[in-house]
Amino acid sequence: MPRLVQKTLVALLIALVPVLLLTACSSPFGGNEADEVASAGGAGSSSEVPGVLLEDAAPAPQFTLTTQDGSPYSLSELDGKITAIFFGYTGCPDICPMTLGYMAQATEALGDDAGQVEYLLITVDPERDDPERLAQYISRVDAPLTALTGSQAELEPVWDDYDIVVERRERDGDGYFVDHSAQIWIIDQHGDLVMFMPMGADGDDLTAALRWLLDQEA
Amino acid sequence: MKRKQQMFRLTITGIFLTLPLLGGCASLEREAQDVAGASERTLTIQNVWARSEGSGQNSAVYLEIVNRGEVDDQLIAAETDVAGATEVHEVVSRDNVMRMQEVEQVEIPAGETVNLEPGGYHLMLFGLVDDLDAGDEFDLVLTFDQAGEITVTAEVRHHTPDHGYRDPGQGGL
Ligand SMILES: [Cu+2]
Repeated sequence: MPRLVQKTLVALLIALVPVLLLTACSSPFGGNEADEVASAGGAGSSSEVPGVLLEDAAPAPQFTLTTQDGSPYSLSELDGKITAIFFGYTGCPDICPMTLGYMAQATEALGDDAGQVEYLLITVDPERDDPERLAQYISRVDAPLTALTGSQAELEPVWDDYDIVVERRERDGDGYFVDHSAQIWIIDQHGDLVMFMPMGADGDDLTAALRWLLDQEA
Repeated sequence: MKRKQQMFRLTITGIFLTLPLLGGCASLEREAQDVAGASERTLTIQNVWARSEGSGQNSAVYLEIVNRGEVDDQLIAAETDVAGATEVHEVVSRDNVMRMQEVEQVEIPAGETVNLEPGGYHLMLFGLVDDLDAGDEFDLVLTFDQAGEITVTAEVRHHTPDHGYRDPGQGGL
């Protein structure tokens, strides 16, 4: 899977440049362009699929972590719903809240179907992201979002399973950054890891992908 | 790996090349909130906003800089009382990993508009002294190589869709 992700991302980024240059007043990565992305990426089985479909969809790697309320959470509890997972940390004020904003945007756009989708934020910074801090962070996001933390030992296998690179980088002065991969993974209603939204995809793309998955079941 | 990084760079470049074309878009047509100085000033700073975030946390400020002059300028620093430290940051991708890092300056070419926006440049606020809640306002001093110091007022907004361009009054919490 990691290699697939890497290969597709390269192709995607190549595909996105002309898209960007051609896009006028819609968002830079507007919904229709996502179709081109999928087909250009070579991983999609249909040119109508927003996002990047995995060629070999398989049951999503399981984990048990701790929520922002301090209670245990197992992935399998989400049976029957679509789950979108993003990895980030509360010290990140740019990409992370932007992505959580996409989740809020999708929630609003899906309307009556919004209840069929759950969102997870899994921290890449267990040292600082305790449940209290995560609770404060996601309280500002208007989406059915659960934030998860755990020990380094609990989180590392999850990062690996989901192909998330996590790199701590010291900051001049004090503190540190946590550089990390930023794709959004999507698990379908049956618990299979089926697709991801590459870095650069926006809220319209996420909405289109979720809508597409919901329509597959209808 | 190198290729990918370059491609992302290209993508980012693409975003900035595209931005001037977006000038007429509704989301960017807000009234200039902070017009710096009088007529002798050639830089206009507008649409200044910060993400709402809790005390002790980090936040980011975004804005648009219009250079109507005939001389290139550079944004080299920013400072505000509401945070422990403020840095000018860019977001870059390396080997499929996103990182933000300090930059020495943001180029503001003559006759152009430069947007500091999510996923590109931001002014990073480290360690908020107090809560920043939607609707709050605070002052920020920007330092330019040519224009010197310009004080602007940032408006705090929720994490909302459309990169926070929605009015805070409509923000959903
Ligand atoms: Cu930053």
